[in-house]
Amino acid sequence: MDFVLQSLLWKEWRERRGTFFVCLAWILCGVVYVLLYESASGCRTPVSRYGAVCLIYSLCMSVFLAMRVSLSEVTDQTISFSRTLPVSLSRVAAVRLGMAIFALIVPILLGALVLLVFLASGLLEQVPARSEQFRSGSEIVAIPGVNQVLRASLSAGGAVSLLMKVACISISQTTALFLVLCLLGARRRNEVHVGFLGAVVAFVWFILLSVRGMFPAHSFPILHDYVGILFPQSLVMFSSYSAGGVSWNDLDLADRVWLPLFLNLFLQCGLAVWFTRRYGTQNAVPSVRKWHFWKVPPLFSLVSIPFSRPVFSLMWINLRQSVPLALAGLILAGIMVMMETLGSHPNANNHWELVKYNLPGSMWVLGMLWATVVGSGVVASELAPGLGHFWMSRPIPIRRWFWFKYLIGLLAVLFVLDGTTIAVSWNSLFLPPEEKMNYGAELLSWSYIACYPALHAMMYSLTVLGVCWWKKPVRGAVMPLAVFLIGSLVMESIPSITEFDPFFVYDNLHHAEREGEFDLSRSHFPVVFGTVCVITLLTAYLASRKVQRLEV
Amino acid sequence: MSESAIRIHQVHKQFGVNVVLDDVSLDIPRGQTLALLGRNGAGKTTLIRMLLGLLKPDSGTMQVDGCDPTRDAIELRRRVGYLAEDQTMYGWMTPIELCHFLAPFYPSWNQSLADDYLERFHIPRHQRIEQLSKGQNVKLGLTLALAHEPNVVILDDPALGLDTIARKEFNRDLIEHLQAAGRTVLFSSHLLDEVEAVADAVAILDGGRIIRQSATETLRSEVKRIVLSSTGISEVSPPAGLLDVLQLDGQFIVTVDGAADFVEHLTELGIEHEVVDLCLDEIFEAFVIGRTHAWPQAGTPVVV
Repeated sequence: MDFVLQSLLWKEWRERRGTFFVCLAWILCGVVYVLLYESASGCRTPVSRYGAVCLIYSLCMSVFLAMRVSLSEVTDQTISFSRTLPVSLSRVAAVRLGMAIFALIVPILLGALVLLVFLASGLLEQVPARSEQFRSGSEIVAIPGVNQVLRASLSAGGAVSLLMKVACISISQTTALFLVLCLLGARRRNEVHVGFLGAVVAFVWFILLSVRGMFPAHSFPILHDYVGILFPQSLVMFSSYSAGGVSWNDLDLADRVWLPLFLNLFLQCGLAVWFTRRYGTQNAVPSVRKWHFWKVPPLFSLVSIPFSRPVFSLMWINLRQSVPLALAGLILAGIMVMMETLGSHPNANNHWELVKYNLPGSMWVLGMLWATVVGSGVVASELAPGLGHFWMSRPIPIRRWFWFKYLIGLLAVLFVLDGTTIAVSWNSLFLPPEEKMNYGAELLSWSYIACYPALHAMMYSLTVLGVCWWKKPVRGAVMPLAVFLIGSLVMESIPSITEFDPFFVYDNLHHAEREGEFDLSRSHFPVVFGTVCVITLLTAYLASRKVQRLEV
Repeated sequence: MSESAIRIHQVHKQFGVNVVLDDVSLDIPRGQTLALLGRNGAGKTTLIRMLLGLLKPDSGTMQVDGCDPTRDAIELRRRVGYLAEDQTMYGWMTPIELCHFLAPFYPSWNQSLADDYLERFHIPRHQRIEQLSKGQNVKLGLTLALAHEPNVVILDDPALGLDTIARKEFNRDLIEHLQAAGRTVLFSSHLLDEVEAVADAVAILDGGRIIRQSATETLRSEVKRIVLSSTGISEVSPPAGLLDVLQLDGQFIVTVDGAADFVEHLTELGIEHEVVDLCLDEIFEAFVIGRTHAWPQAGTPVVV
């Protein structure tokens, strides 16, 4: 190994080792969770559970690492120094990419190795993946009092083989997402933009998990078998089940795994080479305005009039900032639902109704993500040194500035994301039960109206606190999501507190509602969602306190 | 109301063990343009941030246009025009939208004056701020700082990052629109050749202390460079106010604050000498990086 490469590797290791240990800790905590949950519940699905842990890990860490790899040198203003070194930027980029991929995938491999020991020794069992023979995941677990056929466990060798396939798919889809984001990042000038773009791409990536299912094997055999070349995440699909306070995932593994993965490797090599050529070529300041023609002209400026009171000024600026952000989330949810509807009901003649009625099915999860995007977007840029100083030197009490920003952002989340969803699918609330079955399982319900806006508000509020605390938009947005998801996983894995998991409460309420019994005093709703509201208010208060420290 | 537009009395500020401002006192009379000079890290921006109530002093008092920044920061910001170095504004807004947005926060905002400045500074009213040049951005910042007709204007190195011509143009605008209106201006900069044309007075901040405050012309008349031969310099003691001593080709070049007395003393002793006028840049250099140890009779304390 030449000295230049050694130096570059040393530098990258010093920069990435913190992230590597975070990744390792994340995956090892995931493995411990899998071992404890499987031992306690006896679901016999450690591989699928580990696959789900890796999926969440890859969506979060790929975005974070892509931001750092593609633009940290721009943020830290060291790119000009790197350019002056007697080594090509392509080589620097290749080492950056290599070390980041190492930090991303080695923890997945190590986690799989730990799990492999337990599977090989027979301490844990794994059921076979879903197939023609095993069509429903509900047959995996015996529910007390219900006589069901159990799916027999795989041999140790079979379980290890299944684990290897799932681990390789996880690694492949993680690096593929990471490379796509790095490439996008190389065309941007700001890490925050990559973070927001990454959140959108990661969400689409997650939705595309089921892309193989959109091409049934009997209708599109080639696409069904080889769509994994482009979207390796679709080679394994997860279906969630829960019963008797226990939840598990069933695996739907593609018939062909190794060939698509092998071909995907070539694509990834191409992306990596492309990235090394693009790295550092984007100027820090836009010089050529060739793309500006598509920008909407500042029409509002032509009709602008001076505001008579500070209140109107603050309302105007905060609406201009938060509503477009929230609208982007609504549009994204609409596109997702359209894709899903067209895929699952290609011949239906009521597509518009299907889209309207299925919007809540996408919005509950996208709302969780997008509330963090809005929360981060409305606060982060104004806490940065430049704009922060602009605000601080104006005659505006910071308390008033913060609460206007917070409340208008919150209203944007609730009205644009949830309000619009509820309004467009309102009619579905009053459909007869038998007709509801024609539209799908995730229609609007009173339970949805009672639960999800409150959860979205909490995510928004947590993000505002995170951003005010760290003054880092992406960290502020990712941490609440990670904390919430990990908290939910922990609650799910401890039987005595599972029923206090907000998702569990919603599921129970929704289930009861479908049976004609909607009662918000049941299923621990008052306690759980009362706590959610308290957390929302408390985090908003803490954020305001944190921001006030900026003022004398 | 006090006679001084800005009064700073024995202000002390430290971050951890790092003393940034040490017993700083400064008075700026109404209508004066004072240039606050100092090297990077001298404490200029810290002092300005304190004047705006963005930082609290550890001790000492301050008054800006009759307001105490530590108690009436919001009222103070209504009265003062402020332009920060490299100030960021909303890129998605247009200049006119930004003016309309800020207008209600300043009771004395004069929209027709703002419109007038936008026109005079050739700032396109309906172009997004992200598409303005650096020079136009600084001028827009100046427009915002002046449109509410403040009595006191504080400019923190506003021309930083502009090219030479843009800086000259900016200074020309500054003279035309600030000094003509009789406002009090505190102007922080380290581009001394340009400050010289603008400032009525200068204050030099070094190592957290104000080491000299004076009218610009007074400073130029009091600080001189004197060229002496090596035999001539050995016949005199170092004068009070000695700032710099440089030995070059058998001659000694000394810079003295209060040069008139020293020159008179040299004349009395019949020592041959030559007096050279200095520009502000050279005076500043003598104050902050001048060394006196090359004086042949070293050891006598030098009082500045």
